[in-house]
Amino acid sequence: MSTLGLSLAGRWQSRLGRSGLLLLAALLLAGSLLLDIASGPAQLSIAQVLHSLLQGEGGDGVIVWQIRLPVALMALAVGAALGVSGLVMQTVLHNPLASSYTLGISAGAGFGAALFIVAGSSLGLAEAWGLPLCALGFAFVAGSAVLLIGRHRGGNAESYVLAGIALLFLFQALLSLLQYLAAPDALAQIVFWLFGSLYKSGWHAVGLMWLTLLLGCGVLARDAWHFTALSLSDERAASLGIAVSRLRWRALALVSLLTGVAVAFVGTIGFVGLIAPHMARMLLGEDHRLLIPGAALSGALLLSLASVLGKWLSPGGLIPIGIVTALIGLPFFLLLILRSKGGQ
Amino acid sequence: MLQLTQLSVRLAGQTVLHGLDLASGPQGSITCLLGPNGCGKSTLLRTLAGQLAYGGSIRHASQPDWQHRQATLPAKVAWLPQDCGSNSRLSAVEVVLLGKLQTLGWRVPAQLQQQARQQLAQLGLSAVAQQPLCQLSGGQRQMVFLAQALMREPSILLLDEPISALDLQHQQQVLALIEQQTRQRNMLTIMVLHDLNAARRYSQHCWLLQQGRVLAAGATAEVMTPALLSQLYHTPISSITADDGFALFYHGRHAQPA
Repeated sequence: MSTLGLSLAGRWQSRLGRSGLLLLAALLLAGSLLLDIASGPAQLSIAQVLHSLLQGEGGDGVIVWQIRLPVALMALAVGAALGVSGLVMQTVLHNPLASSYTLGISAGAGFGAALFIVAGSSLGLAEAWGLPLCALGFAFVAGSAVLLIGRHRGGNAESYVLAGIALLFLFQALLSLLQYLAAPDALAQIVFWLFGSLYKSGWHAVGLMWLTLLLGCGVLARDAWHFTALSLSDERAASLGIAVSRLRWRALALVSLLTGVAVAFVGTIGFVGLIAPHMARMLLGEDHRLLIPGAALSGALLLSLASVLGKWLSPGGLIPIGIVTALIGLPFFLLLILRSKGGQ
Repeated sequence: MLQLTQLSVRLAGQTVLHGLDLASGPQGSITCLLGPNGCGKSTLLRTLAGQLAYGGSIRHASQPDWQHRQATLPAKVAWLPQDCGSNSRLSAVEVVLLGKLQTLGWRVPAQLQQQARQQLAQLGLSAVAQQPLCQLSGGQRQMVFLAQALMREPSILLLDEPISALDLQHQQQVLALIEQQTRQRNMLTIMVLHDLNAARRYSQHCWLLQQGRVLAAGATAEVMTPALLSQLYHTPISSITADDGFALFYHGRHAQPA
């Protein structure tokens, strides 16, 4: 990844500066947001969208404000949360393949939601709150398990990665079991939910997601220099006075929160948390003061574009977003791997 | 001066350091730590760097026992762990800036940037200041990390095998730099080395460690003798006097006469 990424970063950085790149990403994101609101069964023009946003709910404004805008804003927040989670996990575990998806936290949340779908209604809990709480709860269970098993096994980066992979397999197996045991209705709901959907998001969910994102990023940003130092190695970071274990625990706790809330509202979405950090690193280097917003913007952009693509492929908006991210994510990921090998 | 009294360290249920009683050289001098692999040299350095719990006492100057909290680097100590290579894309000047990690806020003040650049210039690395770490040679990388350690303005510098992975030219460069900076900043430098001749030439004080126990400690000229070194490494070591006046050690093929 190093030589190609460096030449690419070098050319763009010298023209725009790193802050300039962040600004460019933000502008692209704004464009994607407008496109996302414009696209759908009733195709609107960008001008109509801007008009509705400024003038409030009248005429087309209903579609924009009641349906499209919350979905589009949810895509931004979830994409950003997954991007930042992936970045932090890759830095803290020294593993370019780490993300809350590959290390079992998303799977844990998914299992929690599926468990609620199968058993929760019989307990009389309202779905609106019961399902997200269950998902969040199991996200923390998964996150805690990774931390405890990893620490027991030695407390270095490799132990946590192995623990995460074990949990991924565990929760996927349990999910399969639930799907096998579920009644047809519940099964359809689980499967649809597992593929991820932005359409279950009302304004309260959007608000909660944005709140979690801003709080989570705010807390992570305070450790930005520590993450930059940790990117050298555990020992180098310790030699600079950083308490590495505590930093790792803090980071994984925040990742569990961000991922848990995201999965609670939109289901499991893969690849965004894996790819967004690599995109950000290629363009911005290793300074985490820039990487944290960079990964957030990359993740938001990826999910927003996936939402647009999903609507273009199926105008009814019926393709779950998780499938779209897998469709664009996989070739993109292969491209990253192949180009980096060629660059060396 | 650093005074260690009955220092003992346990790792994974095993005692690694058995009640060490050691005194280093004074400030402005270099103390080297010699011993076979697995004797506890890195463990001792890590303990001095505050990474491990210990029994006994560690006292610097006439201060009371450090009793530092585990996994916290003491304020006036800089520690350079063994270099395991780095493919980081951070630039040299960014790495040096990290030396001031404890005081870095969101924005880096211009004065700190200037200090980092000056630190690199002092070590002759101005030309590579903006280059990423992964593109530097092993010797240059080691010197960048040395610059990072010096940014902490330490009074104690702990170096774990600083020249093991370097070619002869870079070995000389790094050692000369360490010697110069130790004198200029009046630091106490404790250095783990495998190269006996480098140890003889650059250190004033010497600790010989064998299986977690002190074999000998004192002035380098007195401690680094063929007899003691042969005993330390369980292998015949001989010496001749080189033309710079220092002893030159070599691995003898025949046992040293008693």
